[in-house]
Amino acid sequence: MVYGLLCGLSTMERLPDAFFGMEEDCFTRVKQIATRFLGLIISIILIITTTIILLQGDGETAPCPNCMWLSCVPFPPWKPQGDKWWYCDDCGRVSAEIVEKPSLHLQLDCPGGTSVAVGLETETADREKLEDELPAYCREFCPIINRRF
Amino acid sequence: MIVSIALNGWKVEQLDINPMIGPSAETLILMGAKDSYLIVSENEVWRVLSSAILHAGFIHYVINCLALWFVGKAIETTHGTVATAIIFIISAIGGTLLSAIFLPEYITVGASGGIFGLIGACLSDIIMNWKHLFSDFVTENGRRNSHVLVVVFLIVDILLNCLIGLTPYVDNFTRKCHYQSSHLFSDLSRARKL
Repeated sequence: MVYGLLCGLSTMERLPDAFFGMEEDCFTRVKQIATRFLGLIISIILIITTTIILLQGDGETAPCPNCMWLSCVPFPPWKPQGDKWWYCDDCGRVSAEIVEKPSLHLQLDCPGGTSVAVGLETETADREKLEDELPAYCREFCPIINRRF
Repeated sequence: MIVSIALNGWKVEQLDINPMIGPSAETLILMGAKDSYLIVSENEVWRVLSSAILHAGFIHYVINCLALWFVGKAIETTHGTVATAIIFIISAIGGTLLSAIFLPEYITVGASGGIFGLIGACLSDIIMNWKHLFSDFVTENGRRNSHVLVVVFLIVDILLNCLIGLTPYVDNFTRKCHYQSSHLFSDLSRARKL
């Protein structure tokens, strides 16, 4: 929106003052020309600057870790964990493997590369049901969820 | 949208994973979603633009189409195709870059960066023509009140979209997922013509 606002200053058509019977002084004209140039120039400078900042980073670390809360909040906040409408973690993408020996358990590949073992009872080892419950297991047992939607 | 569903095995994800009724993150990444790590480390710079033509799901797609129809059409009719294209593309690229910097862990898609750019252009239109839109000249036939109403709806619309940006897949840094009441912007653009 900021980029649109800046580009708009350069590209949007301005209604002529004369149409409304208003006089246009020299200062106003200079101000209008300066605004037109500045809008596009600032947009381009911003794009170049952000590109440099992005490429100098590692693509994994944000300059402000708390900025993500401006863009995603688990909802509704009053519902208990596991019963929310949506989440802001990466648990929708976890995978797991059922391991039978030495004891029946689920080897869960957590977001961030870690792996945890979740004990299973025999009657719960239904593959389809387990697949549906993987995000819940992830939220309950995975230590760090560092990659978010 | 259809291709992304096809690549997802003709199924949509559960609503608690993707509430927009759409494919999985893997499918979106495969198709060119914004992934900061891939952009920086694998030099997949094309994702900055390709993410703007992908959508998280049917809801996201329909809302963006409606927004683009109303806002884009109004601006294109009044200010021309070139100006509209410049605003849309620069905003889409700029928004994705900001998102890639501040939310590197998010996988995001959508044309809303460009659409919000068009809304920003509406704001600049209002700012530049403020004295004409709210002058005594337009008060005579009662248009000033309708202009004030349009500005109020525009602000409400922006706030509403920021709230929608709090859902997963839709990020507020690219100002994704535009919403309804966009027809008011076309009213504003028409009002400019007087």
